[in-house]
Amino acid sequence: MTFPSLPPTRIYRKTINSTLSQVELVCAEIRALLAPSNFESVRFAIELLAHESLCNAVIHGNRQNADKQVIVEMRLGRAGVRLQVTDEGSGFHWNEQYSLPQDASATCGRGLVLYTLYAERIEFNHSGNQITLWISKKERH
Amino acid sequence: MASYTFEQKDDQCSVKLLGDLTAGLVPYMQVELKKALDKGTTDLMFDLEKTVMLDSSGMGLLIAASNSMARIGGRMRVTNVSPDILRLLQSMRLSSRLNVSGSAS
Repeated sequence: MTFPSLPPTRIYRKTINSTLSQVELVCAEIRALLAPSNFESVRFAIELLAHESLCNAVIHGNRQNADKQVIVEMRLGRAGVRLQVTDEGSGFHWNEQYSLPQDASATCGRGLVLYTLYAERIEFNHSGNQITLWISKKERH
Repeated sequence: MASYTFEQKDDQCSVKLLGDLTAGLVPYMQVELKKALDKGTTDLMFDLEKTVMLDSSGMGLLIAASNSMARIGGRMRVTNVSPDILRLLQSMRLSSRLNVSGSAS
C-alpha cells in the first residue's frame, strides 16, 4: 500500500454540528466535489463511506448532541482517497463488530461491514472516536 | 423533507423515492410506512429509480419493512435499483431477502 503517502491533489475539510441534516449537507458537497473528478470508478464507494462514517460519528459517537462537533477531512490523491472522521464521543470496541449480523432480519449492525467491503484500509485511533479510511481508485466491486 | 411519494390503492402501496435513501430520510419514512401498514397494505413496492445512494440506515428501513410484510404474509419488492446499489445489496446478502430487481437500463 503506497498511496496513503502520496501528496494530495485536493483537500476537503469541514467541521459540523452533530445533526443528520449536516451530514446530508457534507455528503452533497462531497458529491459535487467528486462530480468533475476522475474518481468515477469509486465515487459510490467514497460517498457511501462518507455517509456511514459521518452517521456513525453523529449518531453513535456524539449521540446527536448538536453542541458536539464532527470533523471530516477528505484528501483526493492520484491513487485514491483518504477519508478521516473524528467525533467527540468516547469511542467503541471497533475490533469486535466487523461481521454481518447473525440474524438476517436484524435492522441494524451492518455499518462497519461496509467499511471492509469498500475501503482498502481502515484505521481507528486508540479510543475509537476517529476513523481513517483509504479508498483505492482500483475498483474493488 | 419529502423526498418520496406514497401511493396507496387497496392493499397495494407503492413508494417512489425521489432521491437518496439515507439516515436523514429514514425517520420520516418510518412514520409514513407505519401509516401504510395500518391501512392494510399487503403488497409493498419500493421504486429506487431516482436513488443514487443507500446507506446502512436505509437498508435497515427496507429490512424492517420486509420483516413487517413477512409477519402478515404480504410481499415486498424493491425495483429499479442502480448497478451500484444492486452490488451493495448482493454483498450484504440482502438482494434475495428484499426481492430486489435492477433498473431496465
